[in-house]
Amino acid sequence: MEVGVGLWSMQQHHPVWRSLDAQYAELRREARLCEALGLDSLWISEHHGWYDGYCPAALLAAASALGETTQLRVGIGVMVAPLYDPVRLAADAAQLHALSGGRLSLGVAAGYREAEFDLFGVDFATRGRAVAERLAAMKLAWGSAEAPEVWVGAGVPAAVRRAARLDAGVLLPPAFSARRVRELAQLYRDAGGRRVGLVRDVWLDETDARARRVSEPWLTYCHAQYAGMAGIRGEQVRGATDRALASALCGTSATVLEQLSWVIELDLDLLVFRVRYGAQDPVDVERCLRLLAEEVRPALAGVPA
Amino acid sequence: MTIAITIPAVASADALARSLALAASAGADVAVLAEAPLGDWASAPDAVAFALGRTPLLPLGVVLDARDRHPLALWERIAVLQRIAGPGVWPLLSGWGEQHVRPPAALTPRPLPFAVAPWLVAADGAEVARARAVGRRCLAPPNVAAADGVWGAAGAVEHLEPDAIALVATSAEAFERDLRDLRDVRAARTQVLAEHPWIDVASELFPRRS
Repeated sequence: MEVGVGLWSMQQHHPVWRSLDAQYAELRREARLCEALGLDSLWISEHHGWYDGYCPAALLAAASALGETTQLRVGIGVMVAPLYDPVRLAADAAQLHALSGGRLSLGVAAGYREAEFDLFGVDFATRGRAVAERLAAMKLAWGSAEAPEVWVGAGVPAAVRRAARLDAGVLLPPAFSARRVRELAQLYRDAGGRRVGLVRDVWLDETDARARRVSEPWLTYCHAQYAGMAGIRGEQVRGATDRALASALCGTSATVLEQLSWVIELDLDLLVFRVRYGAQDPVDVERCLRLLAEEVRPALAGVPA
Repeated sequence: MTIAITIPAVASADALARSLALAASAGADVAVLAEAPLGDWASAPDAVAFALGRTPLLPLGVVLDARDRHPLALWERIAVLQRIAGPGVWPLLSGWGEQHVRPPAALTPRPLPFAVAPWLVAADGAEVARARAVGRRCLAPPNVAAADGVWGAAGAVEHLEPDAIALVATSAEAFERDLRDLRDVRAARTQVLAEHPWIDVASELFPRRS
C-alpha cells in the first residue's frame, strides 16, 4: 500500500496569517522531509478564485516539489478536470512526469463549486460527463507513451462507477464514515475498478489531548472552507465540521493505529494521510510527519497493496 | 540588450541541468524555457519550477503561450510561479491578445509586484508596435520571416528594434548551433549598441550571477 501525505493547498488565512511565499517554500522543504522520512507520496490540492489564495495551479506546485526530490511521488489531489483543455493538460502532465522520472500522479474530479465554472465559462451541469470526455481525450493524446497514473476523486456512486469505467483509480475523500467508505469502495470494485485510494484526516502528537488541541482549530477551519465552497451555509456548516472532527484519526501513534483498523481492512492501494489543513505552524507539521513516518508507517508496512 | 537563449524541451532532470549549465557557460544573460511557438515546452512554468531545484546557474525566463488560453488560467500560472520562483522570474507572453496583458480581477492569489513586468514576444513590426501600445517591452525571436527573406538574430535586432533577442533552439543540434550564434552576436554587440543605444536598457534588469 502506498502511504502518502496531503493536502498542501497554500492558503493564507485565519487563524494564522502567513505569507504565501513562505508556504510555497514550506512545500518544497516538507517535500524533502517526506522523502527523507521514507514516505511514498505527497499530494497537492487545487481550487480557483478562492479568496485566500488556495493554490490554483497544482501542477506548477507539484513541479517545484518534484524538482526538490528524486524519489518522492507527488500527486495532484485533485484538479477540476472540466476546466482544462484535455490535450494541453495531457501534454503538461506528460512533460512533468517525464522530467521527474515518472513520479507524477494525476488526480482529477468533476468539481462542485459552481463559481469556478462561471469564472472559466464552463457548463456546470455537465461536469460529470466532462470528466469522462477529458480523460478519454487525454488517454488518446498520451497514446502508448508513458503517462502518469490517473486517479478520479469521487464521493458519490455515479462518480465512483465512472472512475471504474475509465480504468482509473478512485480517490475517496476524507470525512466520510467508515460505512460510507466501505460502500463506495465495494461499488467501485463491483464495477470493475482496480485501485482504491482514500484520503483521511489525521493528526499525530505526543498525547491525545495535545493532538486534539493542535488539530481541532485547523480541521474546523478547513472543513468550514470546503462547506463554504460547496454553498453550505448556517447551521449546516457546523454539521460538516462536526462530522470532520468525528472522523479524523487523531491522537498518539497508538491511538491512531487503533483507529486505523477498519481502514486497513479496506485493502487499499493508496492511503493519503491529510496533515496539512492550511497555514499551520511548520514545526507542528514536521512533528506530525515524523510520528507518522516513524511510528505509524512501519505498522502499515505489511499491509498488502 | 538582453540575450536570451531558449532551452529546448528535454525529458529528464539531468538533461535540463546540462542545458542550463551549457547556456550559462556560453554567456547567455537569461535562459528561457518557452512554450510554442517560440519554444517546445508543453508547460514552461512547470519546467522552470522544476528547474529551480536543480541549481540554476543564471536567471530564468518563461514564455507562456496565450493562444486559446483563458486569461485567468494564464495568470494563475504566472502568479503561482512568482510565489515559487520569486519576483525576479521573467515572464513573457507569446500568442497574446490585449485580454492577456494584465491580470484579471478574479485572480487569486494576486500577483506580486513584478521586478520585471511581463514582456511580450513580438515576431514582426506590427507586434512590436502592439506591444509598445500596451506599454510592454518585447523580445524578438530570430529567423523572422520578412519580405526580403529571413532575418537572423542580427537582422531581427536591426529591423524590429526589440528590447531583447532570443536564440531559439528546437533540438540538441540546433541548440549547439545557437550557442555558436550567441558568441557571434556577442562579438557584434559593440557595433550593434553603437548603432542602437536604446537596446541596452534591459541589461540592468538581469545582472549576471557570479
